[in-house]
Amino acid sequence: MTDSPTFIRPEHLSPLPVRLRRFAYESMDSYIRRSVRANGITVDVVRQWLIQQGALIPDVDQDGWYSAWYALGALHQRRSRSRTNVPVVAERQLCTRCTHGEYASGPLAQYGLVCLKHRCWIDPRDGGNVDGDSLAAEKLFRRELVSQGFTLESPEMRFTLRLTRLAVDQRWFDVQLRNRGTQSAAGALFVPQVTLAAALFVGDGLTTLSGAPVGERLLPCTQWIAQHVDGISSNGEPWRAGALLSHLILEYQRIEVVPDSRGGTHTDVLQRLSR
Amino acid sequence: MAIPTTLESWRSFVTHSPERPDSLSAQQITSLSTAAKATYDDKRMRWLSADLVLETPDVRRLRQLWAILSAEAMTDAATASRTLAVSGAPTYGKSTAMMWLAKHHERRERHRHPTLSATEFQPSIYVVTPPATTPKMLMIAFCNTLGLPHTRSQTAQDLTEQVLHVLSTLRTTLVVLDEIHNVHSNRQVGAEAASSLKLFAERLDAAFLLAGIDLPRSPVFAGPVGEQLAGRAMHYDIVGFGRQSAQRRTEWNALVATLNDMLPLANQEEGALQPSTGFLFDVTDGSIGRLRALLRRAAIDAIFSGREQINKNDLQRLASATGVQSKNAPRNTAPDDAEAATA
Repeated sequence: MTDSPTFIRPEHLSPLPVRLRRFAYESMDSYIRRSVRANGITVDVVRQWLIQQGALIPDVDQDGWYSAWYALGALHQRRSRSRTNVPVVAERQLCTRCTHGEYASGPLAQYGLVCLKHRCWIDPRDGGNVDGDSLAAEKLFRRELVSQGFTLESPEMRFTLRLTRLAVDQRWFDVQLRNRGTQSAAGALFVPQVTLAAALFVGDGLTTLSGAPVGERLLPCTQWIAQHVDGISSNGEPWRAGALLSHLILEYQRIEVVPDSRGGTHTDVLQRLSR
Repeated sequence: MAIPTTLESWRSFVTHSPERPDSLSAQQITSLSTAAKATYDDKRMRWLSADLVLETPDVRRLRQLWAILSAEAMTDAATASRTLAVSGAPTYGKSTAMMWLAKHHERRERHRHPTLSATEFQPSIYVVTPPATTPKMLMIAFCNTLGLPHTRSQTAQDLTEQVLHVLSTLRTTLVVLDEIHNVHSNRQVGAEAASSLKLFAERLDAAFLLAGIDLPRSPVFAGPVGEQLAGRAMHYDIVGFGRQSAQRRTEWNALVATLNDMLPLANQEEGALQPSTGFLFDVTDGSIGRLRALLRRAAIDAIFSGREQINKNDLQRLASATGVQSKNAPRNTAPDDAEAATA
């Protein structure tokens, strides 16, 4: 390794002296941040060094950057764990118990809010250990929603959580916050009924009146949901939630969709939550 | 094996144990198939080139000094002496001995900490000091050995912090700096390098082994900074073998006998080189490095030719042809008594 450009292929680079293990679901960017910190260097130093070695083309070579890091970390190329039809995946903090206290992040497309391995909230700001309802909600979430390619950040899930927050009784919500030891609204609302409500929106439990699969006919609904989610205020306006829910039901009726009989109608679900 | 200049090659060096080939008779060798003979010869070549450290008086003494240094390094005293400076002429086995000490240290430390993986624990590191070194060049040498990225715009201080961080993280407790005579403390730039080395050694909780040519008279320990470095180190001078006294002759003869027994040649008898000990001393000037080089080449020649043994004539021929001969060696050495009878 000299300073003169020798045009080293990225895969021929030697690993860094302090080599870290990449956590499951950790993004490459998160791994790179941890690795440079462990080696007492910065991302800029590595980038400049790679350019000087001829292993990276400046400002162009994003694939080359990651290829170089697979070599610098002595990592094996991973198959993508996320489904190809996942529409929205934000990078979130990984469970700190899974990462042994280290901060790492990644696209947790397969997860909700709960680490089933350690039975705790993935984001420590959501709280510590979880209760039975949260575990059930997580399992239901992964089975009913993740299996169909929907994530926590998907419009359907966000809409459901937002709508539920608006529709529920404030006292119920406060009890949830207190009993579950969580600080976040999403954590308080993460109960099986909400997950089920979200599942109702995503279509597998929905069929048309004639029994045919909903398929593409649901697409306008989800687009409508995405359009209106940000329009819902978060400071508690039940009348708006009710109005929006009515619109949604009308929309489903227009495309001749009826909800699955397991959970009842949308109104039934939300009414149960608000008792 | 080449000098390990990277972390990966150093780790290979530490884990590598030379394998002595089977001792086959001449008849057995003759009966080998071509492919089997080639494989067997390859093993013999590897054995001849292996970095083996022999139990010489210098090695015994270095081991004792290292034990003292290791014990001192465990004290809490911030100013405890944790440096051993080993000096000697070229080919006297300094680098080999230093690398052996570091290899031994690393193996022992890894055995003591079996749960730590090979990549999160690096007990020892071997670095070659660049010629006419500056503080930045010295740290770049460390970075290159560790495989640590660095840029032209970084200062010596930046690089020092990086290297210290990594060595501390990897729990390195022994640093070997070879060719340390390349630091010229009596010149401006060299003095800065010596000073940065002194500070580096003070900040890292590790022992340092410094190896170089003729250190007591070299520029590394000259000047005020060099004197400080010298004052904090234990010193040992490898003077090589001699024949001035009966004990010294016995040591040399024992070395030759050991090397003879290690030769993987079918027809080489035990003690076959004893009559040539005088000649060997004259042509190698008591240098173990030159002696091993000469015997290695003679053995390779004996394998290729099929003779499977070496004698004084072979050694004479190769000594003058390959430049092993000491510049002080007489051109026509008188034959030793036993050699004259059997030549």
